[in-house]
Amino acid sequence: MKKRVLLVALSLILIFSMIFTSCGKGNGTQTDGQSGESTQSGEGSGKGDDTKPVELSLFINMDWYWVDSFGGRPVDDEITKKTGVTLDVTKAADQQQQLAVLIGSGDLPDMVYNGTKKLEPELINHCYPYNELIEKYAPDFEVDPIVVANNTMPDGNFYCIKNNYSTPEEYAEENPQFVATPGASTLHIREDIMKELGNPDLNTLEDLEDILIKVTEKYPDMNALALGPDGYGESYFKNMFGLKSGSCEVYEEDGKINFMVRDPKYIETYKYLNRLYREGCIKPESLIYKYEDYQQAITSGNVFAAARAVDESGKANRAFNEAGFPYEMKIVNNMLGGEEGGTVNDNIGWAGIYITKNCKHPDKAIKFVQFLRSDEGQKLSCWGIEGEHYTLTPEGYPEMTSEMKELYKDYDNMVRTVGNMAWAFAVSEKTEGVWNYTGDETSDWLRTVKDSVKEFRPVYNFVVPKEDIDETTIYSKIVDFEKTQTVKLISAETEEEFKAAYDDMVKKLEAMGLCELEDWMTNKYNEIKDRYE
Amino acid sequence: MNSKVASNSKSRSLWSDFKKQAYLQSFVLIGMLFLLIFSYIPMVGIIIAFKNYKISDGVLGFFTSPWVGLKHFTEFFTEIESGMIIRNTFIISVLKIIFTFPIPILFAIMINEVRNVKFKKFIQTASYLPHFISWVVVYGIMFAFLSGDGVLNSVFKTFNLIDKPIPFLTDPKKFWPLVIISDAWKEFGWWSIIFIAAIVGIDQSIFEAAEIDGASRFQKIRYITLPGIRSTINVVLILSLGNLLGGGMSGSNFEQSLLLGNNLNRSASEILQTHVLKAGLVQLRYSYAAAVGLLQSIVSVTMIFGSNALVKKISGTGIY
Repeated sequence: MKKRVLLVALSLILIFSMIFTSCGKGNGTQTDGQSGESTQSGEGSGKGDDTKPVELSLFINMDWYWVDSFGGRPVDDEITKKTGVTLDVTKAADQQQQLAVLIGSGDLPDMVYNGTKKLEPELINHCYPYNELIEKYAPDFEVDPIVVANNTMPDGNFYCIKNNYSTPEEYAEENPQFVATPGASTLHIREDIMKELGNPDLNTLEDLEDILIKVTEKYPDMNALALGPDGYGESYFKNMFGLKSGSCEVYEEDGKINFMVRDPKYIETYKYLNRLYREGCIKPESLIYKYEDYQQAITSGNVFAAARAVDESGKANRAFNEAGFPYEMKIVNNMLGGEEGGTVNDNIGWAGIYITKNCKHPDKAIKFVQFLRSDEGQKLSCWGIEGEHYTLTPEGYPEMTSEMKELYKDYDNMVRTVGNMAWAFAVSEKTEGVWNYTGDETSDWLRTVKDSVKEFRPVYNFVVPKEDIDETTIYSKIVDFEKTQTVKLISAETEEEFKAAYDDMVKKLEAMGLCELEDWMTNKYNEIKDRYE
Repeated sequence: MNSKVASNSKSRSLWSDFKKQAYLQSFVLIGMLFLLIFSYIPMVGIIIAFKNYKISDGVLGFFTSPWVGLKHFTEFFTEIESGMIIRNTFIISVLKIIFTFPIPILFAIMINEVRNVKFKKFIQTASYLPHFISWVVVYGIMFAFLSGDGVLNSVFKTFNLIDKPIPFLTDPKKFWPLVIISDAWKEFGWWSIIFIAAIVGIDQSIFEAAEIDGASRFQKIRYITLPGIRSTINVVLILSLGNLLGGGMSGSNFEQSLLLGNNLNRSASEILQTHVLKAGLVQLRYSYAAAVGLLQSIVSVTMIFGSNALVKKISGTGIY
């Protein structure tokens, strides 16, 4: 009996202690962290800062990220040597929610590497502005004024330097090795089937249509064109038709800001895809593919053409090779859209390091970013260590060592082994571009993509609402709604049905407040356009 | 004076009863704590449905953010797709109750009539195995079977039954049958266990007596088995109706709509829960999502009380 009572008492104590620790967690750990911090920094200053590296915690808000720890790789160790900083990395398990929870609970680490634009306005409420930190701790940190303008938030401060951005001047420079990022949407086709058809010309979108129809006639069960999921495949055709909008999905015409769907080129793009659908070249299933389904369809050899990122044919060819299929895919290397085609670049950068107000060593953090942003830091974090991972050509371009070239074939493994690209938090598009140049068909295409930029309109990023107002909700609603409707346009059974589906979509978008939103954005555009002129 | 003594002794005896059962009571306590922590305390968050909550305000923002009254509720009802979403949620839920509820009962009765024990065991095990497969995997299996070049369409094609593949996964008209059949397939075996147990619990002597009186098999089912498991059926029915909008017994509406739903069949597949997910976690409209979720909970609570009262009135037994 006594034993029983003891058992019950013990289990109750256990339960209660669990409850109290979990309830008190929010405040408890924070104070723990802070007290730990003060002792640590006390120790640090006592022993001298330079000898012992400082550890900064970092949350990487990308669930696909290559690495989830810092240290032990050549590049990692070199960064620590140069900056006196090591990182305690947490990789997101889910890039939609986890950061939102960290923001909400106040448990943000020292730094956040984030590229999700939606969360930016919430995140910066808990971050130090770079301009303040630079003034205080790193007065010699110079940032290009256009980069400052691109990263400036409505409150007039900038909270990060987004990477993967190059200025229009850098674009305009004559630089044969500067190519677009591998994320550029690309069309891949099966070489063997092209040969069977007698290698017909493929220079225009009409040519492509003819070929796809021929393939469908010959192989009715085959998926003549598989579109990469989540609008990736559609974006290839939008580029070919030359839409006036970029990634913000808005464009300016006669001083008025319009949503993408109003663009006549938008309608043309989907009419084209709809024709392909009605001819049987696009199978209904391929419109609901999740990424794995799409990948599987290609590697099973049942797809003739596929539109997604630049590395699809490489991946497919490896799979074909392993499965013993005797065929290969290749990149369609010319602008099928001709003169009309091309993109509007409204890029202001992709992701950057945010230094949160929980940061124990904001001085170290800003200096860490300063190093990564420096020429030396960019090269180290992107190309690796000179002599070991690349050598410089007489013109100053990096050339991968043969060992590195071998590693580059399996990109993920390369990052995990060498550590380059893993900490490329502040690398410009150009630094990465010249390194990605390999001189093969991939580089040729990426160069074509880079040259196909018709216009630079970073201003679009600032006419899109981000503040806590109704327009922000409307914008986010219409952007999401449009994405659900494009498959309806593509899969319309007749031309009349296509028109009805398009009109219905616009009507619904207007019912959601599209016109009010466009007026709001036009006003905003008139307010801020001078910044970019 | 007397009554005080009496109540004192009563409370003392309650305490001593409790002490005597301390070992068992601790189990109950754990369950209650679980509910308190994971179900009751989080309910405080409901207030954000009436506020303009931003994630950067943190947990304290639940209380400090400004009140907006029923703004988010009216927003939902004026949303252009709310009619479609409400219709889909109700139709899928009601169809599921109608079609999937009787299957486990019929199956339990049928399996009870099987005399060969080995065969019976095999069938029973095989029938409830799908319950343990997650919907994600089931979706993968269904995709392999039902897609344009999937198993089913290929078979139809070889026998020249069709010239064009049947768009099982993309046609909105096929979505409702698809989710109901797949739900029934996945869950009927599992739910039949509770009915089989109830049938086993019926006094065997009644069956023997009926046999002596010359009752046929169907008569035995109609007059002994079914009345014998009536209270079990009632309990399961009330629980299913309480979770009507979640998908009845299996509560699978959300997973099915999320996985089997796509932009092509969305006019039939978008339901309240997927809408909440998209508004809350994709568009970051937390307050709005909380409001829509709360609406659904209100319907569920009404359903569980309503169905209990109704069943009690008709059959005299309810859950409480």
